[in-house]
Amino acid sequence: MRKILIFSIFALTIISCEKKPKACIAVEDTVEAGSEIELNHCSENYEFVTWLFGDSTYGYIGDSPKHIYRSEGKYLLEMEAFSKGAFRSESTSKLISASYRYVDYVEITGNSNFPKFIVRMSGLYFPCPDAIGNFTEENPYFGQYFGNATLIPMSQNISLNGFTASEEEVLLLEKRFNLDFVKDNPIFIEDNGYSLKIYWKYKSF
Amino acid sequence: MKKGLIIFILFFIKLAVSAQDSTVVRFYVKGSETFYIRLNGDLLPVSNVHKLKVGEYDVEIWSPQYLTHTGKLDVTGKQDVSYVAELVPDPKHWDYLVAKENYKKKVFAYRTLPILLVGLGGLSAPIFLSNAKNKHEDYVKANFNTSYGALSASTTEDLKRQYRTSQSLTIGALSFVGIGAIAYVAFTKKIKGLERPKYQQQNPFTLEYFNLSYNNIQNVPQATLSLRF
Repeated sequence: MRKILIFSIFALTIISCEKKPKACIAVEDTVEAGSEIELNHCSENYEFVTWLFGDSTYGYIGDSPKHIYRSEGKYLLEMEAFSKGAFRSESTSKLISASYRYVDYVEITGNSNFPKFIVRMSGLYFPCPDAIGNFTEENPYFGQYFGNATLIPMSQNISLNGFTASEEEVLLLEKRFNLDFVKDNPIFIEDNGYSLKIYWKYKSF
Repeated sequence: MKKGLIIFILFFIKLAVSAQDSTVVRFYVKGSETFYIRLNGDLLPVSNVHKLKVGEYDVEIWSPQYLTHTGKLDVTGKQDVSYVAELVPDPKHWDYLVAKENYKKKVFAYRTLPILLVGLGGLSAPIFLSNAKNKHEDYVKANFNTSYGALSASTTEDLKRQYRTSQSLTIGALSFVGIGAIAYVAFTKKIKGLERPKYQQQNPFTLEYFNLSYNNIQNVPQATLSLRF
């Protein structure tokens, strides 16, 4: 009798003693808009988590949802971690920004006698003046620009040309990047003694 | 020659008369298969057929759990005799049987039932609890999907009902454990104070004691025989 009683109490204690989950979001402050991003969390003692993305789309139940923020802006990302049985939970939230990637500046190396570099990117045209000189890794050509030059997350052709008053010469052949997957910063092309580094940044809201 | 014939006839008459000195008596006893017979105070071997001399006998028949039967037997010697006796059950044995049934009922109520409740509840509660947890988890997920997804409210309600059922079963099983444990503790004194029913009867012929009691560990009646040497 005593053994049965002890076993029952032990079994019930084991099953009913669930630690309170600790909810924790592990997402950068800014994520790329228009691109599928994976949202991660660092919760503890949980059985499952739920997500609300803050953009009026459906919620999600699971560890690492993939989500696309269709437009730029600030979003309240909410997450709730549940214990086994979902009797205990803890929720947390984080205000994140969704932004496209914008070209911040470019660095070009190579021996140039062209007055102007032209960076072409799928129809976009970025002129870089004062391009005559021998630009090295230590002392590259620096071109700050580009206003609202957006790195749209899709396939893009990038090339570097030298430009005189009468003609344009290809310095770096057109190279195709799928910017939905290429997230390197900078985006780097190198050939024929020339190199082009495109540094990007997110918009701050 | 004539004298010899007379002696021969007389010899046969004598033989015939002496053959009639003892007669086979068959005892038919209703009520019990094992019985002891005493005739005129002498205990007979255990059998229902005996060869008895002509005469009148005081018959006593006894069997465990029955009263002693007394009667008269007249053996005339002319032919086999049957003696029929019906044993009357000992009223004290009947009282013992009633007391034994009451005792068994009390042991069941005070000990077996609480143990069964604790055992059943203790074994089923973790299963029901685990099921209730799963159902609650399903319900919370469905509720989330209904609020922020594309799940119909009827599905959520159905899961909620299933969870409530599992929850009730868990509470029921836990109640079994609680009630059983409380009853077990509460009845401990009562079970200790219960007196086992006993039945003792002395064999009036041999003065041995025949005992009946109840073994509440194995839940079986227990018979013992006390012998005198």
